[in-house]
Amino acid sequence: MSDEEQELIRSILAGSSEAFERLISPYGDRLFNTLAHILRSPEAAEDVLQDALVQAFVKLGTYQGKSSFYTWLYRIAVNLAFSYRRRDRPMISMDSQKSELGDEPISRVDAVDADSLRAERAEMLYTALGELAEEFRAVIVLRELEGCDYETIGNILQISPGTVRSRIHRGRMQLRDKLAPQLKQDPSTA
Amino acid sequence: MSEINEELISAYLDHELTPFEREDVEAALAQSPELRQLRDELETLREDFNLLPVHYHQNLEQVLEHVAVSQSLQPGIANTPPKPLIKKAKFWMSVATTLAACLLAIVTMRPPPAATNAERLAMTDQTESSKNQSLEQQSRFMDKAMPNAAGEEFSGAMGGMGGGLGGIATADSVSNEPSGSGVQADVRLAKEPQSEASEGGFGQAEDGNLASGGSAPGTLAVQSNKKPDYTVTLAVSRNELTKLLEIIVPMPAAKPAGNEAVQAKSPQQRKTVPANAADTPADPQTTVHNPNARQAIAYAVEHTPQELRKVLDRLDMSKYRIANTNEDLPDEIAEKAKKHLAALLADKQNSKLQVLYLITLEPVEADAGKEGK
Repeated sequence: MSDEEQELIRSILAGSSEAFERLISPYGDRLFNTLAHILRSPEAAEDVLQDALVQAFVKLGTYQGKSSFYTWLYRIAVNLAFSYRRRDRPMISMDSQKSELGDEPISRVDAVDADSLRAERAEMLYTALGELAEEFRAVIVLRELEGCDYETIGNILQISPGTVRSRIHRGRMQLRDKLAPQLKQDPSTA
Repeated sequence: MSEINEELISAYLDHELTPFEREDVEAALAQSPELRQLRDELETLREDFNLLPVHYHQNLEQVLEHVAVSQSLQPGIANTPPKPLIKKAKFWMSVATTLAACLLAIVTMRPPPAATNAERLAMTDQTESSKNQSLEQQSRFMDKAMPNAAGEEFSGAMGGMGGGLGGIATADSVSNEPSGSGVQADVRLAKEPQSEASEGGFGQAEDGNLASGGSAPGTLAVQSNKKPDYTVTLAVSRNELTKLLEIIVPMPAAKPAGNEAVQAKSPQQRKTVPANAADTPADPQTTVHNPNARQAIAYAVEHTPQELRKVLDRLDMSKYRIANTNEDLPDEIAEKAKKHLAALLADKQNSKLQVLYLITLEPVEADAGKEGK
């Protein structure tokens, strides 16, 4: 935990309302993006983020600084995300919207340009990521989108670095199987 | 191509291998076209993540602002939850319930005469029935003792204490009965950090009335315009509340209750003091406890430094106190808390200290489980 964060936490505990915003601000957008990909729904991510911030606020007094504040905050949020998905509640997800609208054609244009190819690859990856089991998706999202190392992921998910390594590998192999055609394609053409 | 090598390739790309493992992998890559193909595909896969859309929260600043604002509630806000600026009703439910749990009216009383000591202990089971009165009874006492308590700020109310018991307000009474003129209090984070591992407690109810995510004991404290000198966070089973209160305020043997005494015959029959108890008699229809719900009560007591030291010593030997587990706190904060208490006891040798007890009443079911451990 940085000195600045320590100071902000002291200020919050002393009653400063501004300090809380300053403490969370550096992580808010990143955390939201991570949640949106884990939950597959920005709407759900909005809910979970709000709950996570309330919890972080309420529990700040219990934060002992044993892990970084970033890890602590993400742990709260990811745990809530898992709980959220387990709850039986309606969720507007990109996947469901897509299924309602029907699958988009992979390509309608004759002249395939680089942009449309990239968009296509992104969509296929997004879909494949959504098909992963939650435990694999979470580690992949934290690794690839958040750039967390194995130890940090382990601290957030409260699993060992060895388990993180195994899950990341298995998740990647599943993605590889799903995306075999595009991965074998020369990326330079995309 | 072995499974272990595949996993090592993945970790190799993440720079998560030891130097020895790295050497092994590079040697294997040099020899195996299949491994090189796997490496290339996984590398492409990783690069493709850069193509994924990035989601931005539209109202993040507002969310942060609202969570932060909840730290500095203005007096009276408990009656009218703030208008949500964000469309998420759920968010406000969680914020509002968190705050409701904390807006405990601190009603204080002058020291009761000996004849009314029995009335001081309410909200108990009848194991020690001779000492117990229902909170409804206590409410009447409060009417007599502090007719003007309602509407007064905490500072005024605290100033009226003379070693007697503080009033009790429970979280559910606050949420069920908005207090039109209840004692005003701010909500802030307490300065007594808890263990990260601690769960539940003040500000949390299992029935969902309170903080959605739950707050750790002592993380929220009631503060008023005049802060208590010291805050003690406790957790107790309902059946043991009497014992706890005896520690907080040792009292002489209680006389049998008078004709007006209403003994609680079962947990379901216990009554709570609504936040505006001094104004409005408790309504049994709305204040009956749910014995299976965790509830929080605030209890304001005035002690001399010597009394406080004695009480804290007794609490330290008890299982009730959950805010003093200094071994669970970062050294710096634990040391600070220790110094604060020492300075307090030294500085106010000749005056009374205003002490706020935040007590989590554990649900009956939880009690059984705890006792079994």
